[in-house]
Amino acid sequence: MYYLYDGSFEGFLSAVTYLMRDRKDLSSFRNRIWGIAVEGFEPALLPGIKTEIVPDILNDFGNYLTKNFGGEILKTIYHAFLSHESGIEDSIVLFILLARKTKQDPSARLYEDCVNKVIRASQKTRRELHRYMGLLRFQKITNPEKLKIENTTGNEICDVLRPDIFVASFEPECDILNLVSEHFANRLSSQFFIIIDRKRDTCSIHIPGEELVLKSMDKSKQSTLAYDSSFENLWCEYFKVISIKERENKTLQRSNLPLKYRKYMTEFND
Amino acid sequence: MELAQKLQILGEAARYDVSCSSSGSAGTKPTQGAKYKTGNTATAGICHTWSDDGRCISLLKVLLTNHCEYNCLYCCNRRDNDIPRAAFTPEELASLTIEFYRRNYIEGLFLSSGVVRSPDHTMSLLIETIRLLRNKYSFGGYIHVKTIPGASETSVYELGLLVDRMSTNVEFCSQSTLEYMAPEKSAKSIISPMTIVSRTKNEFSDCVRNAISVPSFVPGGQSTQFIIGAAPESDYRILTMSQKLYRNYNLKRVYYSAYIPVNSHPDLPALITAPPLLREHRLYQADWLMRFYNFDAGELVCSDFPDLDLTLDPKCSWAVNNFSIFPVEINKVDYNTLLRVPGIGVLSAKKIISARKFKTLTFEDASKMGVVLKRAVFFLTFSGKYMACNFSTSDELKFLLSDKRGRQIFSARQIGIEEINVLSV
Repeated sequence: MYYLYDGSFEGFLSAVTYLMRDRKDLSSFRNRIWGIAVEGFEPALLPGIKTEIVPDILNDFGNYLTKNFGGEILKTIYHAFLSHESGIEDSIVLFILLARKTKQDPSARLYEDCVNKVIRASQKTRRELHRYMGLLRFQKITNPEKLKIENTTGNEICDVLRPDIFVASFEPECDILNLVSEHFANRLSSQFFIIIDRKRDTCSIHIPGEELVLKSMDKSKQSTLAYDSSFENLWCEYFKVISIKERENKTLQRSNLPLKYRKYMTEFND
Repeated sequence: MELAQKLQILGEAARYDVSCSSSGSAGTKPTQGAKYKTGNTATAGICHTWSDDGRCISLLKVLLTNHCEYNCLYCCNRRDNDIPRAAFTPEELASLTIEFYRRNYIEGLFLSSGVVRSPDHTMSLLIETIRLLRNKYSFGGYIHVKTIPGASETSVYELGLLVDRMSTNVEFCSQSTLEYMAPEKSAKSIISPMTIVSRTKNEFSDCVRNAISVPSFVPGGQSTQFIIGAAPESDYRILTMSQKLYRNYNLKRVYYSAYIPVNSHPDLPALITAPPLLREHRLYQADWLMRFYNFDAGELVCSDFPDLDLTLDPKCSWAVNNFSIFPVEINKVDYNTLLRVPGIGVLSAKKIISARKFKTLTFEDASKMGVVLKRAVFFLTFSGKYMACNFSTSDELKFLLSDKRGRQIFSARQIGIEEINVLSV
């Protein structure tokens, strides 16, 4: 049978607590009698049990992991989960069960298949996050009144304050919107910005002085926005002159910066 | 002159300074509260884009002005060259930097300048620009500034309080080369700012250890640059001098810039000379070995063999020349010797040391952990078993270990083509 969860990390961890409560262990998992799957995507033929998120149990589980296996394990699992690789849920479950069996963080046991997969998945997420910290490009909107954004007191921001609003888009393989937005909230703390994940149609909104907000995006709003291109042109000019002609090496450029990242980068789209 | 034109001239003029990193500065941590309204530094550097020559760009690298009173032979901005000259006003450059930063094009600013009137006058212009950026625009991002050789102690100190990293380009190894290449500079004028920064940093560290509060001073440390191929200096001289600089001045990085001929002069290589890119690459590999793998410069090059082998990376070259200590047993050998095995880097060595506590490692396990077995297999045994193919001479082993460019040179030698044609590859 399959333990079904809603697709979020909290839901996944709740499903794992159900599993631990039902005393599943490594050997029966290996016989493929049960697994964890997203609601609506479970394989046919086997029955599914819906799991629910209970905040207290979730907190206790988090504390149990951190206390017994160190602070890093929850981060590793979170990053591995965000990689959205197919089958990563099973590997994470095996990872946790291995931790329980050996009574320590199994991250060093890279010869084990499940550990290798989990570590590589979490590395994949971290590397993509680090890349996008550099590759995301913000553009200033010239007609902010088209965006109807409310702050926590319910007032429309754009009418009252008329701030400079910056928008950035990207299409990451891993679900890093939350992590990337935190980085920019720290860095550009006095700036009003919106980051849009085009692949998953979600966006994060940062209003200076307030908490980050994540919501799913209304596609119809996008087409009416106009952007200010004065500094974009300057950047494109600078990008052309900074290269040394005698050392030109497009292959090296492409191996460092694959074409898939260039879609929303100003200097490659002028 | 319009801003776009200035940016074009002054960006182009600054591109030969290869220092690119934005890492290593814990200048403004986000948790320390809003000292600056916009920007912070990331301890691990962030690359923002890659230019057409394959180099990483993370900073706005420009000259404040390319007017220069010096006449250094190798420099495109030398006084005698008839090129378009421009200058930013401090306000123009500060506002340009902050707008680029807000759009996430850059991690920060890399500022150099031609020498105008005197070293100290030029320094005062640099200080004014950076002060504007830090104070008026409340910029907390990364700033790297080039010190002007001959600058006074006061101006070096004032600048150090404002920036994350400072550097002075050494360019050449000896005073005699400097005398004809850059007659207005001297070894003393270049080394003096480096001495001031390193001495001040040491004094401030002592204060901190004794719980005396001091301001932040060049938190990212110092770096420098050598030009490779403009003067007949061997790798031995360059690497021993780099090592001395690392040890005596506590430098963060030494950069090596392959000489690109821009001027014609009897004391310089001909204009058609291809830049020595492979030699530059081997020097960077040797530099990494000195910094992270505990190699001494004397182990990689010596006065009898003063240049690095171009066919092989320096680590493989050392391993082949010292083959008597190999093969070593992966499950027993200590960390420092493990670091010396070609194909095992710092990360793989640490993974091996952690993993072998739980299990005796096999060939397959090593491959899963990211060891480059193509090279490492010649130097390791796995529980006593040697898994590599046979070879008879050290030349044969060198060929088996060399990369694509190395093999091109082997083939060229066999046919009799002069190596100089493949050096620029």
